[in-house]
Amino acid sequence: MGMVSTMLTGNGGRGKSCCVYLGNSTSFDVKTFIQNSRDPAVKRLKYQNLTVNDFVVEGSANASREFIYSYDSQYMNVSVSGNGGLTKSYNSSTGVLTANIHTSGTATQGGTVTATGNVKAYLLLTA
Amino acid sequence: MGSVSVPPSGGGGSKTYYLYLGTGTSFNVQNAIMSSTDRNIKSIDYTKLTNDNFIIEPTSGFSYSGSGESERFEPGWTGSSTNISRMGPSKSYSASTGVLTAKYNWYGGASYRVCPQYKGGSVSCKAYLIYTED
Repeated sequence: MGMVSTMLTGNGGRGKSCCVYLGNSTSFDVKTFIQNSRDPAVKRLKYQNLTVNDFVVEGSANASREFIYSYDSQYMNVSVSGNGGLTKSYNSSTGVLTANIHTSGTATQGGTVTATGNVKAYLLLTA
Repeated sequence: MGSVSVPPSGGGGSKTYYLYLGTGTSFNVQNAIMSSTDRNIKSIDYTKLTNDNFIIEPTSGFSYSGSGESERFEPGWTGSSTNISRMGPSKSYSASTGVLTAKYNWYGGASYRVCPQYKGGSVSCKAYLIYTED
């Protein structure tokens, strides 16, 4: 096992740290959630003041895509490339959190595959 | 923009607490709980936690590339191959040691008859303990 990380002061000594589950999706209406909430701690929030750092998300499963293709073998050199990661953004004007986990891959003779997956999202509250 | 999910309003019931564990691939949850200044966190029994009590967020994306020389066949010959792209969270919590191991695995590439160009790896993550009181 490699080095084990430990944050000694928990949440930085800022006291109670609560959070609320927003669901499993790629887009979350935080504004409406706050307006409808019966939790006073949530109700006090102003969606305009939130930032993307007030949310934590986790890919709910593999974002995966695969396909079988045929090719003309006269092409001798082959190459592949790809990328992926997490996209997370919050629009403080609309109060909408957008997040997903995504991958893409391109093969010389196989075209491009792309995949996007849901995330589980939480809104962090620090009293 | 596609459909926007409106989360259920909730509230008034049990509280859910979180503890930021740090960034990396291995986290000493037992120590983090003991060191917390939040008494709601401090009262958590680390031996009762499971994978579902943790949420992990990748700290970076990934990219890969590769090239090679495929076997040459006569022009007009056709074969089949596979192109694949995959990424997802991987986490494992040991209730006996109180250590969480977590990362995001990725895998991508394409297969060819002679020189498959598959590549894979992992990226570290930010980890949070999520705990809902009884």
